[in-house]
Amino acid sequence: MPENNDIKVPKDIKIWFSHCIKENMDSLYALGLRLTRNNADAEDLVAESVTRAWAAITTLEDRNRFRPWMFRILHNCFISDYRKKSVRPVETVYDESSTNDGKDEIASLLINQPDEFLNWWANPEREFTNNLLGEDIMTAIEQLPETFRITVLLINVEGLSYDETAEVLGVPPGTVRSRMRRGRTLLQKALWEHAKEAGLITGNTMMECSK
Amino acid sequence: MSNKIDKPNIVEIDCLEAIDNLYAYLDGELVNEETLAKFKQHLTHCRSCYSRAELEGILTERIKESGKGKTPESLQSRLRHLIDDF
Repeated sequence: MPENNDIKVPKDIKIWFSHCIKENMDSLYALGLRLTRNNADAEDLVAESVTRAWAAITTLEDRNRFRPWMFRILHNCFISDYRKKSVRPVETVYDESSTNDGKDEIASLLINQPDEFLNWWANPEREFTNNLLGEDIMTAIEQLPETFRITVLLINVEGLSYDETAEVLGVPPGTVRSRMRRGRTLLQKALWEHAKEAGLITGNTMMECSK
Repeated sequence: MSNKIDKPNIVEIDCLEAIDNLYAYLDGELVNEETLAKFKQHLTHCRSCYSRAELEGILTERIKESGKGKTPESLQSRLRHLIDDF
């Protein structure tokens, strides 16, 4: 087919798009896997997201923002097509109305926790993380409510900034910060419970940090 | 929780405020100089928050390592064919 200006530009964009997808494929798959918790669904989710991204390519105003733009499409695709397929019980909806005061939020997160956890939380054992397998950490992350799971993954695994994460999730940066704080606290609790069951925590700690 | 003030120009913060700022600090998002100085000051004399920050920093690295994945060949091939057909 002879080239003319009408098809040259789309072809260039297609080459660029193909390159971006190839570069970010592992990230998209890893995120899809943690969201769907299923290999086949993760593959379908990524394929569907790539199709939707190409269909919406003209909405990408700044090519340097490809990653947050693509992650946003994947997340929206998950919400619209895959979340409803989940056989797991509906996750708790968290009240985010008090996100303006981080201190109050932390106090409320900690106030209902058992003393044994609070004792450890205030005096964590350094060896704790060394004894955890990567699989233990990812299993605990997969158990987090979806809102916190994707926030922790985008920031800690994919290295997105709070502003970029806010763009992906369609929420203000302050909400991202709040979700990160809550997500990581819930993760600590889940890892502590796992470590306790596995005998990785001695429990030989004293509480110094008051609420 | 300690209330002592080591430097006259830095107002002391408590443990809850330090923990409030901890994840933003670890994620490179604590950019306000005054807040950053207060946070670091707190860690210099609060063993509990120092230990927590140290552990959370290590955990952040472990999450980063553990969360990476390799795309299965089946999906790589599927995406290649998908994009070829666009």
